[in-house]
Amino acid sequence: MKSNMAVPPGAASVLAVIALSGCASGPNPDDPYEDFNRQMFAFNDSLDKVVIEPVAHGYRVVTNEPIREGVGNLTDNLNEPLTFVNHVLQGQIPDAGATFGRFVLNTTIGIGGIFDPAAAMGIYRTKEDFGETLGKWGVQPGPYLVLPFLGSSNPRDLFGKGGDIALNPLNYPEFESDDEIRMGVAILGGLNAREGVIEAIEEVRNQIDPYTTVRRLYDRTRAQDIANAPIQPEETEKLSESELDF
Amino acid sequence: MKMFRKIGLRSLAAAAVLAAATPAAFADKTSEAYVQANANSVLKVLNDQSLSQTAREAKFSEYMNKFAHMPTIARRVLGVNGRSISDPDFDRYYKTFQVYAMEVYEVHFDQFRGEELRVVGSKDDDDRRSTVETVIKSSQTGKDTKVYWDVLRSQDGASYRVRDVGVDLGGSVLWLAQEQQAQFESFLNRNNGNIDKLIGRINVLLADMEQRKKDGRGSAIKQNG
Repeated sequence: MKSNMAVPPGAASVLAVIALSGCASGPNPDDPYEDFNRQMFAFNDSLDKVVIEPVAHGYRVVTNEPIREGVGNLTDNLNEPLTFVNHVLQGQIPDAGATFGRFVLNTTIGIGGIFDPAAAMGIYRTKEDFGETLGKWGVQPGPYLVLPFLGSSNPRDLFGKGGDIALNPLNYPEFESDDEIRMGVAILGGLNAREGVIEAIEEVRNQIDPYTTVRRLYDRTRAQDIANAPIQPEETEKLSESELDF
Repeated sequence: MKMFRKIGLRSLAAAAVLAAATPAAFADKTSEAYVQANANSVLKVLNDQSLSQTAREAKFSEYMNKFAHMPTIARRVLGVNGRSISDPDFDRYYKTFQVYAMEVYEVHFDQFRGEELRVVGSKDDDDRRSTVETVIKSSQTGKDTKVYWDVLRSQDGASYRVRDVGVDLGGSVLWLAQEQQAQFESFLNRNNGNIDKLIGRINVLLADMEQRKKDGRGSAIKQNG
């Protein structure tokens, strides 16, 4: 097993802090660790503003759209085996077959996944991870969490991330400088993804309460990914008399 | 302005005719006609190059105030706080909210500037409420986007109000007023319901929006194109 499968340094202490901060229940039943989460959200946001966002802007300057698309295709292709495994675990055999076909086609004809000839043939990318598999199996997400460096999560998805590392077949082959190469690909993929959401994150920062926006978006997106279907927000409020008074 | 009024009158006339023709059920067709005519009018205002920026914004604001009932929306997005706020506090908040809401709606509608909205269906939620489904091409992405309209009908059945607008984001609908309500409530809850802090926060965002306009940066959504 490779070193990147190990529990991230500091994870235990982070979980301990979460557990302790959770003793004082927050005012929001949907977000019992809100105080802790907001602190981590502010930390991550500051880190992003100071380090990641400027680098993403620089990356945009020195690359063009075809290059960024190629990088995105490459990193997505490296996740296809993980998607394949999770399709199997979810009993979605036709999707697993399609994913396997995509990986073979794109890795060969698509030159290591830089290009996406499979999509041109009508075999489109699906994405599954172990957090979604757990959700499909009926595991509840648990409380919303924001973790330093990792961002939005919940206990199910946090456990799922560990599962993703363990389940991805591409994490097992050993070769010279394998850790460095995997790290480099992960950083490049992350940078490429961050570049793609420069405007979206700026828009989120321009909300009244960016934290609430991100929390709601994360919960809804994950629920949608697990259901593989649109999830509409629940209309909990009834129409007030004043609204109908016209 | 004439065109503006003309379209408004046409839509009201069309709504009245359709309402008379289908008196028994909540008029899906009339609410559809209302949305189709009025939403397209709003989009035309945004694309009216004969107007100055200031005149365009004024007209957009005027039309939105007719299309939706802004004081009701302003109170609704406060959530439970909207029931207890004093009238003077609400008035101060409303002045700021109205400007903010117009800016936000303008940004969202601007991505459909110059495009024609089509009604593709609707459903009655109850006897005075209907959800109208429309499709419009984004002028930025070139893709069709579904936009939903939560429409209320007046007691006499002669007029309508848009209660909320939902934009489809890849299968998940983002209802603008609902999202605003979640954020406003959360903000107020964390600030002991202090309306002045909320007004202050809105003013910070408005100042940022104004600075963007001066810098020619537009909104983040506009840049996305």
